[in-house]
Amino acid sequence: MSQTKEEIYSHLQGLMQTLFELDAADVTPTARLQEDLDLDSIDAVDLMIELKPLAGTKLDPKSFKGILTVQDIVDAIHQQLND
Amino acid sequence: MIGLTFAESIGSRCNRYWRIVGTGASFSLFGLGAATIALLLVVLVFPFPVSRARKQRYTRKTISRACWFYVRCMRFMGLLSFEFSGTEQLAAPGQLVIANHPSLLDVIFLLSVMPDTNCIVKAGLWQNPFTFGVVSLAGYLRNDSEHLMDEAVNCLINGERLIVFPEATRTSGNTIVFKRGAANLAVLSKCPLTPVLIDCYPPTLQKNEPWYKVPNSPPHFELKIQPTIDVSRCIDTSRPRSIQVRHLTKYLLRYYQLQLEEIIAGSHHQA
Repeated sequence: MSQTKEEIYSHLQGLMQTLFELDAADVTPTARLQEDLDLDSIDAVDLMIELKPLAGTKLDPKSFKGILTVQDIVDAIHQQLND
Repeated sequence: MIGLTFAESIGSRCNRYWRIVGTGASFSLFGLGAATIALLLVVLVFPFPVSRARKQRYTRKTISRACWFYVRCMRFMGLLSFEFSGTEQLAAPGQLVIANHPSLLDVIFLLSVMPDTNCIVKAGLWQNPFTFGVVSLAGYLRNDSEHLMDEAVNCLINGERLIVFPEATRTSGNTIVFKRGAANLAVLSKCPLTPVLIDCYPPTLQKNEPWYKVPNSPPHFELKIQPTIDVSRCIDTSRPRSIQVRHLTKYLLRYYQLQLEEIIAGSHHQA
């Protein structure tokens, strides 16, 4: 049951609302996690834990290294699901 | 300098020169003092077969006494003046002590009234030959440690006191901005939180300011140790942790803004 990028994106958007009280409108694909959404390293760890059920397996921290934007997360999860 | 007579202006200029020399001298005293203390501790205390924790405690106590003496030296030299209030609040173990960070001397002042305290220290002090000894013997936490958050939470749970500056760096300008690290520590460890308000007027030894740029008159430091806060009464602890941390950070920032405004509105800033 592979999910589309849109589904992953809307899930992520909801997660960011409940975890970080962000406005859905601010969580755009191009929003940068650190600069625009004010997430820090602790938030990143929390987010990875919450994304685990969606990605099915444990997320590989290495694939998260180069992540800067919301779209990067969506792509990383999508790729992991289709590997 | 309107209204000053020629003699007064000469006097104030001499005083300024003296304070530049004095500040340089006191910085040298700090470096040499820190290195000497570390050397004495290594030779006189560390060979004894007592536990590492006890040696660490002794080191921290020595650092505290040295800071106590150091700020009085600076006052004696006419470089600054200071006053404390509410220091008795700092006696309770296992508390997180937070403070705003207007000047380089803030931590020295805090350590001078806290005999057994841990703090998070800039990694650069481990590379500095003068300060390397004391910071490692005291077992302070390095700010570049990968597990800093866990180490800091553990130290609070084990009953140590911990000093943290939520701004993470000295205030630049007049606006304070809090990072979420301090709130994370308070929420994770569920420890009591004691805010300290530091006011320094005129400003001195700020960020990106050379040490020899002394203010026109000797700065006065006021350190107000505020009543301890029970974090669970400031925020809704049933929310996700990431939200609690955000709410606490906002709460504390507002708290500092209001309290500092009050101090600034007080008498001495107009003087």
